Amino acid sequence: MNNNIVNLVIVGGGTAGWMSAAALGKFLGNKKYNITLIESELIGTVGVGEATVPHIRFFNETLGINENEFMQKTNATYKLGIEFSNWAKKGDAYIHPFGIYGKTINDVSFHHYWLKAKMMGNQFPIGDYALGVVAAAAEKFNYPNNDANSLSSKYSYAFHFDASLYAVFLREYSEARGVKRKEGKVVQVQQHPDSGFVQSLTLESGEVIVGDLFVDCSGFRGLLIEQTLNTGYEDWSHWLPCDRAIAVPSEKTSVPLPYTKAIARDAGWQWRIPLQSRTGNGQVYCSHYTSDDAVAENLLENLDGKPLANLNHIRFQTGRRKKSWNKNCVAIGLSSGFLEPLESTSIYLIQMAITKLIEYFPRADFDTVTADEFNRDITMEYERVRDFLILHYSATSRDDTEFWRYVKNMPIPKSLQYKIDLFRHQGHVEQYKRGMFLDPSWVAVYFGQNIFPQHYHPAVNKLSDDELRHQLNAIRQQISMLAEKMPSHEQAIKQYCHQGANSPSSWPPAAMNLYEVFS
Amino acid sequence: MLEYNSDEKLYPQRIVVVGAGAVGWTFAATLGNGLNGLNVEIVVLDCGVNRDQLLPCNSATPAALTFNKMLGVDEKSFISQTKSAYFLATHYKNISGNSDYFMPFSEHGFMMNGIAFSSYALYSHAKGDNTAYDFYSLSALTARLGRFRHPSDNANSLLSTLDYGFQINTNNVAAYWRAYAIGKGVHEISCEIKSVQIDDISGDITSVTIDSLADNKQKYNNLIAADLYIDCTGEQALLIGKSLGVKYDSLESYLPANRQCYTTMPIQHAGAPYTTITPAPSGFIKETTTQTSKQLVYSYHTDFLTDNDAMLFLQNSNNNASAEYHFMPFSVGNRAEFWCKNCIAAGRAAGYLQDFVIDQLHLVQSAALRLVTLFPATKQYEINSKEYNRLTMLEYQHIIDFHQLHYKSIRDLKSPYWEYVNNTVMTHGLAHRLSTFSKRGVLPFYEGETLSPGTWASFLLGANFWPEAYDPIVDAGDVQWITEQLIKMRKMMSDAAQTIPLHHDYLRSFN
Repeated sequence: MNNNIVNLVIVGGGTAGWMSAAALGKFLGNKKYNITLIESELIGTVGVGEATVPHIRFFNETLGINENEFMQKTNATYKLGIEFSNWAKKGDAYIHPFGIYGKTINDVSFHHYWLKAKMMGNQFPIGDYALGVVAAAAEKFNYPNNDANSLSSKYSYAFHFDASLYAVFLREYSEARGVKRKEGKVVQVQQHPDSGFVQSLTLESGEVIVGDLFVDCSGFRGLLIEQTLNTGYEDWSHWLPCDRAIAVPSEKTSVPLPYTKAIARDAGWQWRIPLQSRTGNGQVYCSHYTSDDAVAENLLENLDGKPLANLNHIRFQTGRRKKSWNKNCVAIGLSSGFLEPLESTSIYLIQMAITKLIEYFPRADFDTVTADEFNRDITMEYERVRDFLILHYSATSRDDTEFWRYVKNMPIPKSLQYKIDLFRHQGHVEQYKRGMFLDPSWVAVYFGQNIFPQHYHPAVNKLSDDELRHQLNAIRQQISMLAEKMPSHEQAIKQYCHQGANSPSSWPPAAMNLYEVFS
Repeated sequence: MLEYNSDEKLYPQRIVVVGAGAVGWTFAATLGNGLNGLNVEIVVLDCGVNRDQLLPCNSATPAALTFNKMLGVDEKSFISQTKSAYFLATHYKNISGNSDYFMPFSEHGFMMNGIAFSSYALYSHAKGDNTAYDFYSLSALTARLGRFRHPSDNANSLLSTLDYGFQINTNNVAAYWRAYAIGKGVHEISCEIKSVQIDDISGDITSVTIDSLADNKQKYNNLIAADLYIDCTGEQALLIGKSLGVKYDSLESYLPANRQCYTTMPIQHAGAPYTTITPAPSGFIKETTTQTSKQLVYSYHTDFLTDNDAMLFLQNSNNNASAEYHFMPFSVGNRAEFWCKNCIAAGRAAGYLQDFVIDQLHLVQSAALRLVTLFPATKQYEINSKEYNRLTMLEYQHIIDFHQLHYKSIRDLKSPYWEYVNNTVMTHGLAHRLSTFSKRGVLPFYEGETLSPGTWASFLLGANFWPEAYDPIVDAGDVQWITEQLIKMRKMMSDAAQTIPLHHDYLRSFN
């Protein structure tokens, strides 16, 4: 059977482009495939996605990357979760951890027990029962422990890193595996007159790059998927109305925190991402409710160190490309859709698309059945992330600005309304297997943003009130003790990653799971 | 939020399970355990003939292991008391030119270099290698040799890949769960059902009028009122169908069968650690063996086969002259709603999708656990029932797809029945799966699926549905290396299977 494709062309060299190149280089090798990545130093990359989720570790592990070397080269810090401030109302804060709350008792999830205890007058927030939260708040870090019975196995971790350094790191990795890099801007795209398939790209230099499969990592504009193939875009801005961002790095003023901050502002929110040597900052906002100048001023006022670069203005439209895979073009990264980085999902979505592309890797006949299946999977991922993001906005009691009044009252997708109704009634989290955010995440945001069920699961009453108090106390104390024993985040970084490539591989295995690595 | 009141009582204070037998008692046992200590009174009305009629032997998927674990049941006691046997694989005979294939519950082979094993198997087949796919499954090889052992706890051991369910004696299992349920405080009343009363306004069932047969009369009068009712009355669906009028949607156009002829014979030694499914001129024959019985069932459609011919066919394929033959009509389909008002249907009252791989008891266990998870805390449980119905329908749809695949896999039998079957319409789900699989072996992911994509692939490859092409990424690998790995894998598995004890010897050590 000799209908294999041979020439792969990746357009764009940001995080999406180099992650694609690295993974394809690893899986395809350079004996039977030619992989070319075209990038132009003149075109900036967006790279706001400096905060990740634990799945990135699985990507790195699959590529055989030394975690400590990776951290050293990308200026990375550990990440245990995200702190959301001022979302439910001003002055509120909660951490959404990469971890599990408490433990399941009598086949009933912990949050039902916490809920009853709260009704009984327990004042401790649910975060006090998750090691990921307590450790993050105490600015501690350690690897999770491989003892399924211990609460210290019930969390995972990710990184904050410099995405442009990660791209450089992966570029070296890719080039070592035969990926060819072409510097230059694409000025023209040639399509097959009948099929409309992309055949070749012409660079500014006049050079023509021929390809069988094109991976569009060109960012928002979607050079191939949209500008050439007119695939179409599903607009979600009525649910996620933010449409601009301003990013700026600032000087480090203290030891880095082991969590990302997402602070709600008058017409959007601000991120704060601690790296080893600097802090990434930015505001995402809705231009309908505020001005660029007002946001820029507010952003600069709220920096805790001196800005290290000019403000980087970014425009976007939340939504999803109608087909990520169209003809012989696969869009990966921002060209396939944009969801604001509120839950650090950008790199995860890139990773999912790469994984699926490899799983469904095409032959020269580009059968549409397989491409459709790819699109079905990607749509499911995007829609589930979308619903989860919308929840952060719609579950608010803020009405202090026009923006918050809008998101508080906007109609939400039916799929999300159903999830909320289920939870509100009796604390039931809709069960599904696919998608990155499962029960603990939904619980974190529901409770964090004051969606409390009217009832807990009836089987909670199998424990007497005293037993319930006792068990909750024991869990809370144990978690506080475990966190106490952990090294500080700063020490952990020193201990594990400062030796870089020479350090022993002491890190735990990775998993495609937000909450645990051993399972 | 509601104020906490420590005197607050759980809403359903009494649940009545109407209909005993394996279905009613499995359900009652699950509730008895799930609601134990919550002061919910659970009553089973054993109304004799008004119960779900199951075949004498059934098979249970590996989900039964989780089920037993959740109910805190020790497997050894379960096996020895119910005289169940193990179930490692389904043995398919004469499916589309494949005379002999074993479909395990566990995945075939091992992922190599981050690429799914099935991609390598498809590649190797395309290159002319005719090794059957089940040679890459330790469970399948072990089943073929009539052997069994429990999986190893060591995740690095090949022996950890074994996965199994049970082949059970229905009456023993009913008795087992009855004893278990009674131990958890479940009450039993032997009675006849006289009538069911419905509230004019709410439409809920208010009570069931019984004629009590035994000595329960001092405790219960003849009017049994409850907050929730579980309808385990089989196809009669006395509550959900006859009383509440929830309609039953036929699935006969997808699963064309409506009658079973069966026989059960006592056996001296435990039989095969697998069930066997064989196509027949007008349907399928399934063989199940427990420690004590062997059962043969011919499922067919009466438009194409008379009872007498069905019986003769079974007699010919079974050389036991003293065997008795029985007939059971059935209607494949599902209730339009599984939980309606204050009534939840289980067993055939909820639906019947035939028993190829996933049978009635699996669905009952799954339904009962689902109800415990979504157990209502108050009378306002519309959303609980909505979610319950959504999940149940999802579960059913995928099983219908998989069971219809059995029919659609028979391409080489010539008879009016199979000609008819060939022209039946495929479910959307099955058609979609076949279209993605036939291109290059991709199996779509669906939420709420009982069988893994790996099980689907196993069946399809066993039935000689080889895709048009294999995953081209395999071509990037070294041909020599791949061939060596596949040979090594097969040898490792067949060597390991030889070390496993014979099924009946292994079982004997339990008794």
